[in-house]
Parts: sequence; C-alpha cells; structure tokens
Amino acid sequence: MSVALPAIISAAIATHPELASEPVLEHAITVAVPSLDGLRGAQIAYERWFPAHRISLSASVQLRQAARGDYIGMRAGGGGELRWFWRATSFLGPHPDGSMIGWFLAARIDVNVDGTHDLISDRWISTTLEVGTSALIGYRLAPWRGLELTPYGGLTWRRDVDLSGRLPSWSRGAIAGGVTIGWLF
Amino acid sequence: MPISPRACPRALAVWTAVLGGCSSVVVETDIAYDERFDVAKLDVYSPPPAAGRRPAVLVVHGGGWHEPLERDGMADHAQRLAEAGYVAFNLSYRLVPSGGEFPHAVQDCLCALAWVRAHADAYGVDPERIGALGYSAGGHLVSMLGTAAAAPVVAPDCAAGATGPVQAVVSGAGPQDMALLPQVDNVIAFVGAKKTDDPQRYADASPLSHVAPGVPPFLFVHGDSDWFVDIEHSKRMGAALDAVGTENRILEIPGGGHIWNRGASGGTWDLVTSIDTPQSWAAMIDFFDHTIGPVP
Repeated sequence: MSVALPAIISAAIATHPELASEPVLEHAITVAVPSLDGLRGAQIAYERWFPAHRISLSASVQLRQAARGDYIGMRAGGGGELRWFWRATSFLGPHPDGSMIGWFLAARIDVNVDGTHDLISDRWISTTLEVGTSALIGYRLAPWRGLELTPYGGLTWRRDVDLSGRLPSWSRGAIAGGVTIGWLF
Repeated sequence: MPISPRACPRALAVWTAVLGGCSSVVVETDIAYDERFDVAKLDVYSPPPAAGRRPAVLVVHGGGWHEPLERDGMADHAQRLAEAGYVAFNLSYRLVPSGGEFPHAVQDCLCALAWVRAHADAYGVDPERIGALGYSAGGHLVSMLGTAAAAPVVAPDCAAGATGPVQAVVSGAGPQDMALLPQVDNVIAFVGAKKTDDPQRYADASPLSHVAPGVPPFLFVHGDSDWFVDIEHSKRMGAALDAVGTENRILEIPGGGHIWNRGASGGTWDLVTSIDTPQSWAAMIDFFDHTIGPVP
C-alpha cells in the first residue's frame, strides 16, 4: 500500500500535466471536520495565499449548538489564522512548488460568544466570552485538482469570561488536533 | 518625570497580583481524612471569609478507578468553585491496584464526606449544604455519595464514621449502571468480578441500583459521542430519578467525547473533558446555586 499510493498519485499527475504548469492557486475555502462532529455546527474559513512570503491568512466563522437536553447552548464566533508554509511544496499532488501546500506552522486566535439557556426554568443562565489562541503545526495535502486535506495539531489555550459575572474567569490549556477539507482555487 | 519611591512597590504588587491571577482563594494541601491510608488526603480551597456559613463541594477525580491519575487533575475545578464562593474539597481515594477495588473507593469518598461534615465549623461550612462534583470514575463515585450513603455494602469503617448523602450531585460522564460498561480489564478489576460471574456485585456497585425516594437532585453532563462511558448511563439514571420524583437535569454536549471536546476553535478536538465547556460550567454553577446555594 505504501508503495502503491505514490505510484497512483504520480500516474494521476502524469495524466493531468496541465495542472503542474498551472499558476499557483491563491485562495481556499475550507470546512473544519471537528466542527461537523455531531452534525450540530460548522466552521468555515476563507484563506488567502501570499506566495512571495509563503504565508497565508485566513478568516473563519463558526456556529454551533453546544448543549442540548434540558439546556440549549449556542456558540457563535470568528477566528483568524496566520500560516507560514515551510517549503510550500508537497510530494503528494499536482500543484507546483510555491503553492500553499506541505508543512506549515500556524498561529490562531478565536473569539466566541457562548450562551446557555435553561429549558426547565426558561431562562438564560450565562453568556460567556471565550478567547482562544493556538500554536499549530500541520501538513496540507492537495491530492487531486483543488481538493485539499489539512491535518494539524498543537497546543491551545483558552480564556472564558462569564459576562454575567457569576463565574470567575478561567483559563484552560490543551493538546489539540483537527483536519480541514476544502478547495483551492 | 520623577518616579515616586512608593510607585515601585505598588507596581510590583500589581504585577505580582497579575502573575498570581489575583486569586483570593486560600489553599490548604495534603490534609489526611483517613490516617490509615497515605492516599486518603484532600486539599481545601477556601474563599475569603464570609458572614454566614458557606456551601461546600466535594470534588472527585476520574481515571477509571485506577492509578496513576490523582486529584491534581481537578485542582482547576476546585479553584474555580472556590472563586465562585464554594468551599471546595478536592480529594484523593484508594485506586486499583493499590486497594481501591469496590467498595473501598466508595468508602473513602464517604469517609471524606464524613470528615468534611465533622470539620464544618473549622472551614465555615454548612454541613447540610454539601454538593459533589466528579468526572468519569469520579462521576460514578459522587453518584454513589448521593444514592448509596446508607447502603450496608459500602458502609465505611474509618474514624470519621458513616454519614448521610450529599445534598446535590453533578456527575460528569459518570458510569451509573456498571453492567452497561464493557467488560474491559479496568472495570473487572474495580468491581472484582466478571459480570457473568457476579451480577449482584455489579448491581451493588451501580448508583442506579440504589436510587430511592429522597435521593438528592442530580445534574448530568455528558457528551453524546462519549465512547468510554455511553450517554445511556446518564439517561437511564435520569429516568430512574424521575420515577422516584427526584429533580434531575441533563446537559448533553452534541459531538462531545469523554476526553476530546471542542475548544475555542471549532476546528480542533481538544484534550479536555465534558465538564470544561462554558455551557457545562454555566449549568453546574447554576445547579449548585439553586440546590446548595446561595453563597454568602
């Protein structure tokens, strides 16, 4: 399998030589797979490539049902991410060197508002401002035309601020991982 | 512009407060609640003194009833509870394979509860307003504190003696029906038998089996994608509590796992528990406030 996969990809590239000579694609739309877990939300991002500096900037929005049962919890927020692609090349796919592919390091910030409603007593019990920062490492694959898959992992740190003032603010660090699927264009 | 000599110590004090998080919680560590066992210790997180007695929360860690996880993993939770006005007691208990087999871990938690009630004056605690918060195996143990305090099978033999149940339970992803758990080594070692060999022992170790009229209110926090402890545990327990007329609520986290949940970024799974989300904290504090609160 490990021998066969590169051979298949090489054959696919050989059958589409025009792709290798195409200009570098500078835009991407991606969906974060973890945000779809449970089919109760999504995080969608637009990413812009600056090939001269091998960096990309992305902006994302997310909306999610974060609690149910005897409560309704909603989260809405936005985020930004800066990625620096190390060599901007990948052995896996038809895109030319200098594309936003391959290994990258990223810094990310997210700002969300989380609301929690108690259905039994029919009242909002909390609104929390959540600020998160992440340091990530990842690898973008673009194995077929514009299709991209990007697994990544790293460390995150978040700060929850209860806007009602009942709960003290607190911080939480964690190991994190995820993957996006999207389209380069 | 000249700098006042007083400005430096003031700036240093402010910076120290920033670094220290400006917390006014006093933490006392490694207090023995049962002298017979080295592990039987707890940390006390006390808010600033208040005019009246305070409600308290016992905090019980998880880890599959096995070594090596201990109470350090719940220190942040105890700290935040104390900052919210509750006296928090974060305890350790005997673990498998070093003596924590059922019913010993449950007995240790009951001993800790009895110790807290016996020392309520010293910590300014109202002994009739004590809740419990636990996650995973800790969720199981706090559920036993709510339902099985009077059960002969878990009757403690420590110096602190027997005590009544806690007044409120928050169970995060806690096993409620041991027979529902897969027959993995951790479960068999904790219960002390395979399910087919000793079903009565599984019933004895299950909070669900001890539900009776008068048990305290429960809040369940559970991810619906929890592969370790299925959400069915909390739902069955909720139905049993409904049947005896006990208040109970469930906060389900859509797509939430046992140790993987979404952090601030919707694009990552973070290594955090189900009781770490903003919604979980909002529900937990609100639940404690209306069951064992208010805080003075």
